[in-house]
Amino acid sequence: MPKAKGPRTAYSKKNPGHGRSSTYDANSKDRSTHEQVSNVLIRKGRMPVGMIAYLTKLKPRQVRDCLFVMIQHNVAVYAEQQEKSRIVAYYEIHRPELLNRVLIPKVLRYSQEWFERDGALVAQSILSHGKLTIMDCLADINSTIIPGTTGRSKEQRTQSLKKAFTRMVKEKCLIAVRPSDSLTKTDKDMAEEKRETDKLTMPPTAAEMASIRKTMDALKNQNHRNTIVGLKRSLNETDLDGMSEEKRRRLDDLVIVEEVETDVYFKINFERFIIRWRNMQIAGLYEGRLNPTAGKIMSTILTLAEERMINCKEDLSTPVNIMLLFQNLPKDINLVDTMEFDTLELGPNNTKPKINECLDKYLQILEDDLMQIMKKDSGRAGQYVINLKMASKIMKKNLIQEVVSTRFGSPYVRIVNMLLDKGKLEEKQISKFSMMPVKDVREKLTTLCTFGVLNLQEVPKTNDRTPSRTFYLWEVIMPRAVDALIDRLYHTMGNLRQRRFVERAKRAVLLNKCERTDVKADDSLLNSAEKKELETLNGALEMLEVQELRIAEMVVTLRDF
Amino acid sequence: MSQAKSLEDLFYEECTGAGANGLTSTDFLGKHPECNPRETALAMNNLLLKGFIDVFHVRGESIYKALKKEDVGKADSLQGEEQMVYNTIRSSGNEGIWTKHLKAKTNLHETVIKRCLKVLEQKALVKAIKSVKYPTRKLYMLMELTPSVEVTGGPWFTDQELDIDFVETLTNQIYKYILMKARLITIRSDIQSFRFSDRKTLMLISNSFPRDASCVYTSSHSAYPSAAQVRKYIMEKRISQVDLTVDDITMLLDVLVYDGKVERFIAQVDDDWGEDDDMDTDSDWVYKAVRDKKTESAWQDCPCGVCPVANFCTETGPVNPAGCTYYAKWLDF
Repeated sequence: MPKAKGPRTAYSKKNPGHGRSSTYDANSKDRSTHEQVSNVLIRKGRMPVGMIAYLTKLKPRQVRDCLFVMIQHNVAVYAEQQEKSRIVAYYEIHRPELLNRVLIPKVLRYSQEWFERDGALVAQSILSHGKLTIMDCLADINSTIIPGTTGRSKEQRTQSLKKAFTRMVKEKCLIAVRPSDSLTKTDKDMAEEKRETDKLTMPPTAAEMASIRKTMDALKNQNHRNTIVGLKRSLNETDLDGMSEEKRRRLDDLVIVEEVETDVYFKINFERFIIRWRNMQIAGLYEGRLNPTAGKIMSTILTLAEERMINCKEDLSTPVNIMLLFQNLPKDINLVDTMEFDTLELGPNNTKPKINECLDKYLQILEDDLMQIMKKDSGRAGQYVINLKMASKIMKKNLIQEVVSTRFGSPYVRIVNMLLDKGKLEEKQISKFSMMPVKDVREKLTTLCTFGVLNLQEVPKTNDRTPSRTFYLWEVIMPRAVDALIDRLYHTMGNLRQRRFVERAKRAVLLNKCERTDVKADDSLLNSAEKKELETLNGALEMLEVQELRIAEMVVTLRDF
Repeated sequence: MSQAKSLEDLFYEECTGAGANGLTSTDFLGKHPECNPRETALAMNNLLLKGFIDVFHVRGESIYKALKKEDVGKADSLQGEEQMVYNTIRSSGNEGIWTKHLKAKTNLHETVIKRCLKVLEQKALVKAIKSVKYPTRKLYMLMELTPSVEVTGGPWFTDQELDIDFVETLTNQIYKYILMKARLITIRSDIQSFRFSDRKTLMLISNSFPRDASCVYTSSHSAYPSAAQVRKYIMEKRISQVDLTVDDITMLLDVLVYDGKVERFIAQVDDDWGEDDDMDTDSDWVYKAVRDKKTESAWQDCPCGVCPVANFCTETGPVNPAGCTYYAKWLDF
């Protein structure tokens, strides 16, 4: 596995949208080699080194260097294939990972929130190196911190960093990288499939193929659920050794130590971050609909169920026990006073129920809520499951509604909602149910159709397909609407990023001057006009970057949830 | 002649007895074998002439139907074609009939029909109306009938056009009512622990959700209005001049549901709870306002989200983000 440390900057310049790679470099006229290589790979698909060198007009050695760095940063993957007498390596871009890079600012922010300052440092260090072992990571962070500034000794700092690192691994925010992770996923799957089919004497039927794929998927999920790779547990017998300083947990009288293996490389697990953001958003749904307390309860339930979540595409969460929930509720939660009781419910003495009764009532409210996200686990009492599929559907629906409402207005939302509710409808029916004149409805329908939210289905009454004897049915197909919107959002993200490089390129001379060591040391060398220009540039860049992140959040909701 | 007279009466009575299905001459003769077929035919002719009965041809058989006595007098003075047109219009009921269809059914020439209609209109027997469904068609129906909902479009239409303002004000009022307007519910409490006398009532004021934003109602809270209650409110406050049915109100409520302002769900059925005495609750659907969602979308905050030329925008094309004036304005704030 390549272990090179690559410059992080090369990647932040890449445009992670629908194959459109940004070709703008702020500092120099000649485009960076990394960009050229990735550009070719994104646009043309997988290919061997020779081909890349030919297309980029770079030297093969340069191309290899670039690929090396890209693999280190998890954005490129390769596959080896036997071609006659030799083995050829094909390279391609690992798109999901590349697309996730827009979320880096958010990842950093939340590592700070969840794992405090040390977590953010770990995340930053790992992100800037692609993948790191725990020791390398600590060394990297220690080298950047100027001694004496944090008020802690080096020992203390290392300890707390180690602790944060271990916690992040334990909570799956960091994930171990295995050599096979650098291979293309399809090639891995194909190889495994081949292994299975080779066992059969005859070529497999479609049904057999499907069953093989199913067992393979199940196996993969099983592997996910199993113990975390790169984390070993041991009884704390080596208490006097240096290892004993790891995070420990008391279990009766035994001390169990969980420590990160030193020879395993780790990378940021974007998926886990996305799961957590999704959970936060679900809790937010309830906070908006009911009250903050309901949101907090939901968030606690989701936190308890989170450990066993693998990705965002699951249908249901694991059941959460009500007692466990009660113990894990945040301390500042107020269950009793935030509930308004009907007079009859309170009884003659006007006393409010106890806390656990209130929790029961809250759970009842959550269960009765029309979103129908939470429900009782059938078969087991006191257990609740969250319908994650439903939740993601609602979040996507809300997002589309928001977009339609801000862009077109509320009558359009009415039409979209009605079609979501009723399925396929004709123009006249839409006009009748939405209480809008047909001519208005017609215009709105076409607008929404061009936007990509609506679909038109024609059903001819006769075989000759005359337009006058045809039903024209409108409907909202959610996956299609989502895809259409994602496309537009990617386009916007590309635009924002392109503009960002344009803004910087316009002021290249100024930026170059700022990079000079003498100017860095003494900013009085910049005149007032230059300073003002720099300020405008920073303002504009900030807006563009923030906007890009916000759009990326929308994309995550639509794509990953 | 007196026998013939009585035969006419007999035939007419039998026709009335047969009702909507009508009567054939063989049916009649089967029932009254004593009658002479020839005389019966004469009697039928007389009745037809006077316009007491109607003839229909079904599968080669003539079926006779009796007309109501009160309808009879009106068409008395009509003759031939006029009567034919009149009868065809009458058979269309409160749906009305289009002149083209009238022509097809009567097999008369257009000018004849026009003339007949003119006469009929002069005599105030039929009237012309316009349909909401087909605004260009001229429909005819009997003077005394009120056009069906199909034709007028119900209470929402004035002059064949959807009255948007009316609908909008009404929807807003309903929304306000569901959201804010205190609703007085009468609680009949039979629970002994309350020590209320059996029929003691108590007034409760409630909204869709508690005044305090951080509070929620318990799930047994049931003071949400149903369509019938909304109708009652609208009628009591005289917001609408037109009489609205529960179905009309449900249409408006559906619109509110689709707007995402209101939610519809089945009320918890609880015997002790809010049963207004004079209410015709045939459905259990009740309505509840949704807390205001802030509708904002990050996408629309940047020019691309509202850009009219976004479809032409490419990396290097004539419309491109590098030289985009919308961006320039936006970044300049």
